[in-house]
Amino acid sequence: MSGVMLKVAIYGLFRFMFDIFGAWQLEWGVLVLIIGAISSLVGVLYALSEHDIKALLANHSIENIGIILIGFGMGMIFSSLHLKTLSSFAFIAALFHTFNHMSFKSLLFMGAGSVLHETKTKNMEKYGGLIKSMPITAFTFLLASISISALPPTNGFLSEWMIFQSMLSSSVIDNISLKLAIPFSVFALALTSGLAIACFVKVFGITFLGLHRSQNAKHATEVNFLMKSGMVLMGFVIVSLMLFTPFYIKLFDGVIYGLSKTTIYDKIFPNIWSLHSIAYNGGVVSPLILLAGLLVITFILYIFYKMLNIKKRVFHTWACGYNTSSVTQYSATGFAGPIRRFFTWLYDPDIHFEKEIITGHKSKFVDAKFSVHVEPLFERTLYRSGVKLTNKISYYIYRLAHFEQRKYSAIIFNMLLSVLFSYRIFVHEFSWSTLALESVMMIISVKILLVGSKR
Amino acid sequence: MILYISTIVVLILLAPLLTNFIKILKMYLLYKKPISIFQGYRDFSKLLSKEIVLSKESSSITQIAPFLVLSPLLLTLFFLPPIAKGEYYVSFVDAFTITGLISLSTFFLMLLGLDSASSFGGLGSSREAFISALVEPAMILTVFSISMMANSLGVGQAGVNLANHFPYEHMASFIFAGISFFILLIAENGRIPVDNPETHLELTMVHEAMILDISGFYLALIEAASSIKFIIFASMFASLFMPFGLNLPLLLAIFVFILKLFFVCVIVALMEVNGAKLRLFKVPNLLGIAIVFSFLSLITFYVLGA
Repeated sequence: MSGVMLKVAIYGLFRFMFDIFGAWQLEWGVLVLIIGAISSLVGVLYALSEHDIKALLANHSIENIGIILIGFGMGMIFSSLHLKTLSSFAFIAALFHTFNHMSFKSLLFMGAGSVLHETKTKNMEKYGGLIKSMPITAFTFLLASISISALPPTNGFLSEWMIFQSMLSSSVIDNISLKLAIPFSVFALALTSGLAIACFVKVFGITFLGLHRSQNAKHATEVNFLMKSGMVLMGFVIVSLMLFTPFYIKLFDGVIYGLSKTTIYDKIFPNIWSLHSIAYNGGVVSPLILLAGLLVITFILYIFYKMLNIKKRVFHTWACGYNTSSVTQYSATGFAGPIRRFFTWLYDPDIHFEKEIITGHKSKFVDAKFSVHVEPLFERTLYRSGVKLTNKISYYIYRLAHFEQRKYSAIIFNMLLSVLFSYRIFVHEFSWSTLALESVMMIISVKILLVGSKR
Repeated sequence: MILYISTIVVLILLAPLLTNFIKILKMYLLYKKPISIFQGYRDFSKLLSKEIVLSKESSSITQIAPFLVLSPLLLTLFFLPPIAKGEYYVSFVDAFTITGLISLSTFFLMLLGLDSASSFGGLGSSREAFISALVEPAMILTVFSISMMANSLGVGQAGVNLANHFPYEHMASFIFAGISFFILLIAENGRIPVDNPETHLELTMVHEAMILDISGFYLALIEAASSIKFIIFASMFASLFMPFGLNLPLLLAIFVFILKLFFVCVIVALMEVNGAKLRLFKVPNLLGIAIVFSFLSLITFYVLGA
């Protein structure tokens, strides 16, 4: 669902921009860029504070759509400045990220679904230690986590690299204010990718590592064959997007060629080994070399390890002499603690800390309970403010309905007064001085008769 | 090509020496009796011969992650700028890839912290996640501005370009970027204003908390990773922000390069001795300074061209 349905909007945007507009002003590109930057940052920050695994992944979709929009906005800016090849590069980056997001987000939702199926809960604080009972789910989830955190050499890294490169090529723009503004969106994107790493360490670490935090997680077993095969197949999609990048880029290039009549495939891939940035003095990345290098070095280290022939012993985790148990582990809320504290102005969290104190000593307590709840900004502002407004209106209507008789007569008097005064305006005998006088009189009579003095 | 491989081997061999050198210098400045200069190698060889104690609570991640902590950093060594003229270098790999590889190593280190089910591990990885998330934007902006000055996004090429043509006309933005990069060097390697590498006190530790349950060969891998990370940053600082000595004769160039690495160590040691560790929630202020300096560097480059 997240793989396809969210992309419908992006697809609609693409088609609308190219088929209906064709050409656009610079401001539209800047607007899309700003929206993208804000939504990527806000998405990842709310994902960090979330401990419902599905809601967390949904918030990450907001972030990724933001990243796609950043690439799209850069493409629009370059296009309106008549930098054809750069705009094609940015559009290809956006399309590539759309595809990559489809691959890893589907895998993540499948993994979350199988965890949910086994543990019967969506709350991350109740998971833990699932890698031992569900290894295939865990390792495919790990692959997708690395990819969505934009770590090399995965496909998520490649598309984010392309978006970064297209932003760095903004040095060719002549407009100095635009040139100065783009580093701020570079900043937003870089902060987003840093926070995404933190977030996925949290998701993977809390869900699959450590000790189980509840009975539900203890009795979890590996999911059935069909669910496993779905995840493994999606893992292959991720790996294929990583290894066969030239092929996919060729497809996207064809799409962009149909729209803007420039082909840049030969510039991005002079040979099939490495991905070149189109920008002046741009960089190069080669997923194949990176992957091969990592594998070879890890293999050499592993052989070295095997040659040393080291003994292994299994023992408890050292916890300063105390027992390690599931409650002494870090929780998801605790993991995001420093970041939540740094961004308090955005989160405005609802913190409840209750403890039963023993006879006046603040430090001695039998039972303590700490809970944090973060409500997303848009929920707080958009939904809540509507509720508040309705409440306020109904309150005044209620007050009106329960006035004393004296006040009703006062209302009638004021209505009469205002009708008399406004009559002048309708017959065009208007002058500012009389209006001022009349309104002062109106205010005084309303104040005295209706509102009255405050008790 | 032989020179290229041997440079990497020299850097790997030099890595424990440098972190050890900082320790020695600090002890000397604090009027303690310094440890031997070869202590780093001794620790390493001792760890190799010890048995591994695995935690009962941990999973297969503990056995995989140490390799993946070290290997991205070793791969990064291949992409660093050259240290002598005529040396082969990988010109094309840009700083995003290097930042990404370092983040990959940090990612697995943080998972390692969460794996052993101890509260220390979670504490360390939570703090590390917080710091490294804030380091990332400053790093990328600094790299952006230095690549403007060097006329190339590739780190290797940038080092060569800066050595051949020092950006006198962009001195202001060059210095701003240098300050920003030095703060990042301290923050990424967990030196004193951000993290104290020597204590095992739960209030102060970040890096040590994550690896509390690792032992034997795995600990050797992690320790090697942290010293190699330091040498990556130090040599990037040496070749990007002190870009001289590349065009000297071969042996002299290598000597000057190693001298520059030790110079970075001396500055770090002096800062460690003279400063106190910051509270965790004051660390963003330091990183904020780095971010502001990288912005300033870009803005002076664009607006003043200086």
